[in-house]
Amino acid sequence: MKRLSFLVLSFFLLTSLCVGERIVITKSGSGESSFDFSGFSARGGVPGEFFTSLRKNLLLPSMFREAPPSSADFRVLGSAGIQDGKLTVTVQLVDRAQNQRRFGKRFTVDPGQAAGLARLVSDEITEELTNRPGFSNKRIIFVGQRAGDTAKDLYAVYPDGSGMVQLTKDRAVVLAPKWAPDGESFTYTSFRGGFPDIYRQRVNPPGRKKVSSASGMNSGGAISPDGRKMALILSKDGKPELYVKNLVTGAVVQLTDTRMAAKSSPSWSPDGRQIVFVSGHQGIPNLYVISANGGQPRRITRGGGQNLSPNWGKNGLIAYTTRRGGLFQIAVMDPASGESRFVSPADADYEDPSWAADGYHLVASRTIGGRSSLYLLDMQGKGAKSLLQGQGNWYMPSWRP
Amino acid sequence: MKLFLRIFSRISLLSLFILLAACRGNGNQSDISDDLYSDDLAGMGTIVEWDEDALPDSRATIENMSPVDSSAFAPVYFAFDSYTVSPGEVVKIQDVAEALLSNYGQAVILLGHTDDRGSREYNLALSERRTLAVRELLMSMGIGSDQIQTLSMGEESPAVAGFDESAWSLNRRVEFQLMQ
Repeated sequence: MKRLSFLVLSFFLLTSLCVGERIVITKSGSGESSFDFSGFSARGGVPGEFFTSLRKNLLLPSMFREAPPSSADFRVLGSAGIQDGKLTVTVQLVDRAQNQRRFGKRFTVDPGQAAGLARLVSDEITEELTNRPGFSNKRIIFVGQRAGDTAKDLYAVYPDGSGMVQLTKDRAVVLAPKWAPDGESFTYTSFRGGFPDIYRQRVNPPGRKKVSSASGMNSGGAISPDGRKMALILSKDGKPELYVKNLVTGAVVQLTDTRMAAKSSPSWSPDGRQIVFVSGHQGIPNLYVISANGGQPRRITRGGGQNLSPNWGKNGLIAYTTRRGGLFQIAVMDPASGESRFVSPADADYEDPSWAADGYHLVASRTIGGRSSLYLLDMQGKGAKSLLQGQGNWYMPSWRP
Repeated sequence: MKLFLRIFSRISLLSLFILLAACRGNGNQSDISDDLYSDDLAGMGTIVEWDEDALPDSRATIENMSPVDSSAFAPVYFAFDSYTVSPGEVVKIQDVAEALLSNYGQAVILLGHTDDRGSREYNLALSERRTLAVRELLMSMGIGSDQIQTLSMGEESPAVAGFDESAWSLNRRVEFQLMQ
């Protein structure tokens, strides 16, 4: 009988290991899940690196946590090892209560790809359990200032803190990097030429281009969802106003004209028809929405505090910075109802939110005692997690779509 | 039972081989394309500039000029979140206008700043609004628009370090750099 069980087990195990095989039992709604990792074996350098990275990434989403074998919802089973100079990994996810497999795959990759594979597997499991895309393999770009150095430059990092890349080497003031909606390029404001100009930097092949350098200030460059236009703030006509530049023809159209206001931070609605931006009409900055073709701006934030740095997500919700009780906090607004919810803890200043690819989590900078670092938040306000901390100041994040 | 076991094990073993073969047939046993691993940002350390000078820079005012000693001209200070020049500060702008009108310098750069509270991006716009308010007053005092260059820095270049009002009030400012 032992032999029989062994064969049956082997059969199922191999079925699951076979590439591309995925057994989908059910799709749960909330995706709240706990994992037991004790059934995964990885020995030594590279396999250990894979496992450490997989565990770290799977525990980043706020709906996931680790639990003991006796109470975990899912058992993470499998192994990582080196065979013939390659990293060979099998991963299974088994629903403990129902004893059903939710995920099973086998991979063979170069050892240098251990961390990348771990992020990918984490994203696949996350997608399986939450029905939302994972964010582990999406780099966050941000402004960085290393400890002991006044120079500022752009950097990129994976949410697990790995794969840090320096994107510019200008040693100049740089602001507000923003991914284009296709994730192939990003825009930012840099003083590298002495004045605030807008640059667009392409990922592949790498390169950059000055896309706005009118006299005065050029800032807030944000590429439209169709990739054909850029919203921006220019002061060339005497005061900072919102404009839209056609990236194909180069034509620039002024959208706002308010004598007494400073404007900043445009962000496109997911359908590209509207733009949310910051305007200090009555001295205090608030969020306004305007048609991408112009017209009358509509104020969408209420209350006395400052409202800043909107990021209009693909989920239709606007994340922004708002001042409450002397602290800057992150709030999420449904522009249809005008209702907002605070999503950051009141233990420090949180600013400049950017939606994750899953439309559920956010990255923001957290500042305390003059030090800024990157934090993970979620739209339910369930706690904050440190993503990147230490040696320097890291702020103004934008998460790759 | 024995017969059943034997048949079953044959079938199972056969299935195993078929499955293994199927797996092997799938190549590298991974359905992930190589470019998912390719670190497409890794190459960005070297930046290729393209069309670098394609855009005309209309900031020619101060080209070929040199800074002259401007220490006598005190910065104009502002209230929190404000770009209104208070009556008490106007005299500082008058000093600069008079200097330019008497040819102490041909042009002036207005350097706008904010304190470090709030959004850096909004603070950039706020500092620009401050320099433009000073610019308007200079123009009302007879200085030509071609003699004025604005350069707004937001909160990026504080005059004083610190996290209280005594530091903040000194950082909310527009400085003057006269050029010859």
